[in-house]
Order: sequence, then C-alpha cells, then structure tokens
Amino acid sequence: MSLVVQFLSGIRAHVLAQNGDELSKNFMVEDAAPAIYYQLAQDLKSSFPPSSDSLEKMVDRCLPEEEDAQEGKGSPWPGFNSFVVDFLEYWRDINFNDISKLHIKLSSLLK
Amino acid sequence: MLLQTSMSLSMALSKVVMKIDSTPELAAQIRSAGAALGDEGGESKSIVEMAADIIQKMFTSCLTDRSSTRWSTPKGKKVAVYLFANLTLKLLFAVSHHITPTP
Repeated sequence: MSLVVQFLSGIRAHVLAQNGDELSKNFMVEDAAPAIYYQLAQDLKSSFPPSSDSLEKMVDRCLPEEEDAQEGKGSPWPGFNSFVVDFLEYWRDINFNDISKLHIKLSSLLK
Repeated sequence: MLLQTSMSLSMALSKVVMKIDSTPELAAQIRSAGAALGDEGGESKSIVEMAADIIQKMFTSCLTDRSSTRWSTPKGKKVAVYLFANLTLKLLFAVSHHITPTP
C-alpha cells in the first residue's frame, strides 16, 4: 500500500472515531516532522503531479462520506477532504528553505 | 474535530511569521509581493497582521461557541479561546513594535 493510501487510511480511522487529538497529530507541517512525511512528499511528487486532479480523486476515494453514519461515529465531509488535499499538496510542493513560500502555503492551509 | 489541528497549525504559522518578521528584508519582500497581487483591504498589511487576521477569525469562532456555560470548565471550541487570543495578541504586539508614533 502506498504511503499516501496508508496516511489517508489512518486519517479515515480517526475521523470515524471522532478523535480530534489523534487526527491533529497526523497533520504535521514543520520541518522537524518525522522522516516519513518527507517520504510521503516524495511519493506525492512522483504519483500526483500538480497538473492533474488525481490527488483529489484519491482523497475522495479513500475518504468517502459515510452514508449511514452510526451514532457516535464520524464521517469525512467535503470541506475536510479539501483540507486534506491542501495538506498533501503542502507537503508535495513545500521547500522549507523558501520561507516566503512556506508562509504562503501555511496561511492557505489555515484559511 | 479539526479544533486541535487548527491550534497546532496556528502555532506553526505564528512561529514562521515571527521568524520572517525578525528578518526585515524578507518581510518587506513578502509584503511587496502581496501588494503586487492585490491583497484584499486596499492597503497592504504586514505578514504579521495577515497572520493575526487569520487566527483572530478562529478566535471569534471559538468565542461564540455555546457548548459550555459561563462559569463551567471550558469545553468544545471554548478550550482554544485562550490559545488563539494569546497568538493574536503576540502577533499584534510584534506589529506594534514596528509602528512609529506620529507627533
């Protein structure tokens, strides 16, 4: 299973469990993030180029909206999926040595 | 569900912005790039002000959350009120150090 799919599967599990604390631990953005995020970035660069919408399709495929969400269980929603796409694009495109671009990318994630 | 994520991203943005702000040439470069792109609001804002605006919106959203009563332990979005308020004030104090009072 590719790293991207693994990452999205982990995210989905936390969303279904409505575990915001664990979810936030996955959305790391600083240059001190574990090496796996840099491997994720390489995976994204090679498999999901900026020119195509394949990343968005992959995210929607891995994070489908639960049609019959049970009591106490969460579900991904369209806005959340957009955020996940933005987060993965952040890691695909970021260069921590270019601090001005880092600032722009990070601000976009929060908006 | 994204409250904790918003909190950690806000702290990361605040760190980056303060780092840029401590390098005047870089801050000026980003500010002029923003002005060239036509930032909303007419007058160009510093990156610190822009970051404070973003975080302030989250602060306002948390402040208007009604899931906890007035004197009870904060819960829901109210938990993040102090963090977002502190980050916003920290950024705004950083901006105020650059403002030269006019006589």
